[in-house]
Amino acid sequence: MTDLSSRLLALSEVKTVGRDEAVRVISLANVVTLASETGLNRREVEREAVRGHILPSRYLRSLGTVGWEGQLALLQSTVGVVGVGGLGGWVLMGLARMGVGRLILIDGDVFEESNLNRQALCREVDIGRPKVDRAAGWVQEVNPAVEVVTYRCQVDEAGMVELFHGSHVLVDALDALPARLELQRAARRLGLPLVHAAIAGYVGQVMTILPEDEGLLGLYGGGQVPEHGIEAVWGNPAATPMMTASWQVQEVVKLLTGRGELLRHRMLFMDAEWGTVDILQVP
Amino acid sequence: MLITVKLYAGLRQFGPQTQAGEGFQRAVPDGCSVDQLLELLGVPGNAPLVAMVNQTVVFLQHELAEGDVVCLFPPVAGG
Repeated sequence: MTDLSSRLLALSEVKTVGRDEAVRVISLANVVTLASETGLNRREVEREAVRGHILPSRYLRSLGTVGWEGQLALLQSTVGVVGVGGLGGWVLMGLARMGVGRLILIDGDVFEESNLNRQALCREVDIGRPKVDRAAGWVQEVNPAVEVVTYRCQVDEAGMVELFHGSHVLVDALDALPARLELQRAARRLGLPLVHAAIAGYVGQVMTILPEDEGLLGLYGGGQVPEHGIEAVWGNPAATPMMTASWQVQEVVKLLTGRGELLRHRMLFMDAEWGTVDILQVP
Repeated sequence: MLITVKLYAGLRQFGPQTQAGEGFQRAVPDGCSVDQLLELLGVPGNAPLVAMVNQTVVFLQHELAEGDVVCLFPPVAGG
C-alpha cells in the first residue's frame, strides 16, 4: 500500500476550500489512473485516499457535513434497499452520490408506463426492463466506485435476512404494508436500523426504526394489515417521492456517519398540499 | 369534557377550518371513545386511519379523558 500512498500524494493537489481551509484532493481522472495502475477497484483507491486525508474531488461538497471520518465510513458501508420504485430510485441515487460503498438492491418489478410520472430512473426506453438492472446501470454511470448487488425477485422475511446479511442499514422503499412489516422483522433479526418511508398523494412519512423499537409494528399492529393505504385513492405524483426519499437518504447518512439526531421514536409526517411538517411521537 | 383533535391529510376535511398543522378543541361527552369521536366528526366508519392519543397508538375503542390530544392520520403505504 506504500506505493499507492505515495502515488496518491503525487497525483493529488492542495486546494483552498471554504474559509481558507486547505484540502488535498485527487481528481476523478487520477483515481481512474491509480485503479488501473494498481489493479484495485475505484472504491479501494478512494478509501485509501480518504484514509490519508486525500479527498476524491467528487466528494468535495460533502466534506463540510460528513467530514473525513464520515466519508470513510460511507465508503466502507453497505446499505440494503428494498424497492427500486418512486422512493427507492431517489434513495439509491442519493446514496451513490454520497459514496456509500456498497448497495444491495431488491425489486422484482419491471418498469411500467405509469412509473414515468415520478420514478427517477424510469425513461421511456426502460419500459418493460427490470428496475434493478437500470439502477445498477445508473450507478455505474454516475459513481462506479459504488458496488451494486441486485436481486430481481420478491422476498419474504427469511429472504431479506439472507440477502441483506452484511449490511449496516436497511431502507424501506416498498409499496405495500405487509411487506414493510416483514422487512421490519427482518431488520430486527439482523439487528440493523431500518429507515422507513411511505407516500400517498401529497403526504409522506419518514422514521428511523432501531431493532428494539416498535416502529411500524407499533403503528399498524403485527397482525393482518391491508395491502395498501390511502395512496390507492390519491396516487403518487412526482414531487412527494423526491421530498420523502431525500429525508431517507439523510437518515441513512446520519446513521452511517454518527452525526445529528435521528428521526427515532419520531415520525416525520409531511403534507405538501398544506405546507405542513409534523413530528408525531411514536413508540 | 374538552379534548384537542389534530387531523392530518385527507382527514382535515372533517374538522373546522384551522391553520395548517394546528389542532382544535372539541367538547365530547364524558367516557367518549375514539370511535364515538369519529362519529361526532362525521368520519365514515370504514375510513382507514391510525389514532394516537397523547402520542400513543390506540384502538378505536379507547376511552378518552379530559385534556387528551387525539391525532388521526391515514395509513400511508405507497412507494
